[in-house]
Amino acid sequence: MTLNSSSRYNTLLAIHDSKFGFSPRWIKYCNDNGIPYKLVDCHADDIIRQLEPCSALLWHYSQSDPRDLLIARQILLALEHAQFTLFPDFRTAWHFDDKVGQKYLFDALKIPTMNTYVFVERSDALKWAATADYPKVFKLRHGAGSSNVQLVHNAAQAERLIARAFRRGFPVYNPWDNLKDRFYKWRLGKYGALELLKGVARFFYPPRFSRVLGRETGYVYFQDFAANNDSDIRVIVIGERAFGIRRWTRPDDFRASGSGRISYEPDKVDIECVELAFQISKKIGSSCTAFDFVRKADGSLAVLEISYGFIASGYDECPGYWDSDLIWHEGRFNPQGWVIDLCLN
Amino acid sequence: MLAIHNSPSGFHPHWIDYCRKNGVPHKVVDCYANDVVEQVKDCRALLWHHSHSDPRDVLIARQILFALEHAGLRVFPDFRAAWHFDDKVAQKYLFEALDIPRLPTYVFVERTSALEWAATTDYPKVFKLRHGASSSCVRLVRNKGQARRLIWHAFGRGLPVYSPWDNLKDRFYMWQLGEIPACELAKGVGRFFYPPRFSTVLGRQYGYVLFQDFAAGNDSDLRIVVIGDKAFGARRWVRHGDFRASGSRRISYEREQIDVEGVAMAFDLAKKLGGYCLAFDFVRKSDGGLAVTEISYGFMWKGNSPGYWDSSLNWHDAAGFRPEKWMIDLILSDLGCKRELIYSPAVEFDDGRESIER
Repeated sequence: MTLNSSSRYNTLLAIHDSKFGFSPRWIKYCNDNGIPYKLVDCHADDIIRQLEPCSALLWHYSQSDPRDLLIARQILLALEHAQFTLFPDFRTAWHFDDKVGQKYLFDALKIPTMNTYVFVERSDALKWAATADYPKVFKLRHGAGSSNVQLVHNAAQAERLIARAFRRGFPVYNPWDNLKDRFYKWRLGKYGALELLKGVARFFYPPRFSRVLGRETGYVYFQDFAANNDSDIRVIVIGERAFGIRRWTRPDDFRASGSGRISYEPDKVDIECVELAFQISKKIGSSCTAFDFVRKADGSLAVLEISYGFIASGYDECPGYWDSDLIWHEGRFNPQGWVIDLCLN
Repeated sequence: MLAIHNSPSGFHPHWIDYCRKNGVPHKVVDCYANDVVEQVKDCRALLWHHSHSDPRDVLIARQILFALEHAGLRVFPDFRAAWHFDDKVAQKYLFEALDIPRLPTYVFVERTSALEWAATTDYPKVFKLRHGASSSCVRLVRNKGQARRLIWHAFGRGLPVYSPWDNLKDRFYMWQLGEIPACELAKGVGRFFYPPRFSTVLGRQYGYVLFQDFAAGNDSDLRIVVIGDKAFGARRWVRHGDFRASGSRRISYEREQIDVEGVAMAFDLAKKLGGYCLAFDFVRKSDGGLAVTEISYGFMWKGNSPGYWDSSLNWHDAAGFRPEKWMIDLILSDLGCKRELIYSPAVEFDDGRESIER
């Protein structure tokens, strides 16, 4: 336990003790700035007791850690119910890694998005598939880095997917797609050959998180396809500041997330996206949100997905950020520090 | 205007009936439809008695209610009453965070820490899965060996939420009581080959264990339902030769069978938790104090209670009352609707719906 005392702060932060995600950067920021904190283990049975002296908890939980999947939402909502200060809080994260939840949220808050169709009854889904325009994009509710996303070209394909969804269902983790992904990154020179071998091993040892989630069955999710986008724009809003990147699609593919082909220059990021991201962020009432934007056929912007977390190192090369008046501030910055500052206020 | 989910089961028909009889403006909507948000756009509240055993509800009910509440609509059940519904893991953390009188509960998401705990703890303990109503997925663990086996299972193959064998035993028990006919027994056998859909949606329970201290010496549990400033209850006796009360079908509704101490505590806890409607299950700890074992926003209601208590613990005789009305009243008052303005004399409806209360 690290406990620095300082009279400047009346909030004692609890930080989940982890080597991954935002935690190491949070800890460094607190150490550098003399902010008192306590390291806690959110996976332990006595987590609520550990939090006793604290009034805020920061936990960058993950969609691929089986332990987090089982209890992170529950612990954070329980604390929210008890009016604890949290990162992420309810409004920021109840819809995290759940595209079905986000469909309803976008509908309810009138957030511009691609039309999305969710069915929990096979007959409704089949009726819709017979009359819909194609192509559409089929997705599972879970999945990051463009996993579990595929293009559907015609009604017959859609019907096959629907039949399967309401019978055997789909695994959240597809080792074949994963191997293709590894091969792609290996060709780009981002991965060593060992990572390819690991991809083969994944056929026999699926990751534990996929066993926790189980097979996806009983629903289908389709979305209108945003054609002619060679890239998407990702803008991250934290409080009154935002930064962004442009992600180019993979060659001969329509998916941008996880492509590894990224532009960081501010002129590559539409200022229109930044402005819209600030607006939506306010509407949601979130403390930290990453928005994925594409252009619709009519040229307007649509949010494809939102997420409260992101890979911290992926944005280190951003040369600066915008404030909420859309003024550019040149220079490196520490978004994890912004999160701490938000929790202290 | 209130939106009410279109369903013949649960609270829905009584909500609709009450609104019709009292001229409360309402609209029947289909929450499973893709355009549900569009359907409720001219409404100020949505009521949906979603169930833990309908696969469609399990997949989208929480998401739809969270999204609408996020956007400022009133919903029944609201966040505070239902985010923890049918999730005993969530309730462990909630009870600890709000310091609700409880039986000590232990949750582990790592096998090593679970095994370490099992080696040093006292027995018996009760093992539960996070999901499951009417005492399904609940069993008594008498010693370390049994606990270790369950832990290895939970972190190995995982455990099913639906056990056809337990279900058959349950059906046999109810058939003996005369509650169900013999054909229900045959259905129980069929369940070995066709598990219910909701259990495939939930999947096998893998990667965690939940144990709870055993409250010995309880021949019954006490269930108190609080809706706003009214409460009613029942005492549920345990099954013969078993320790589980929920789902036993041996129920006493008489006023003198229900501890007023439980009623008073339920009112207190309901205030602490917030939420429109909460059902508490109480047992006695060995020191004589009451402990909550589980909470739920929904319940089965057959109208057997002879009356209810108000929040000053005065008893009101009211045989055959319908608690669904109170839920509507509560939401309307929460919306700031004046009673005289809303409840106009019943108007004629021509949608062909038969009144369910005669």
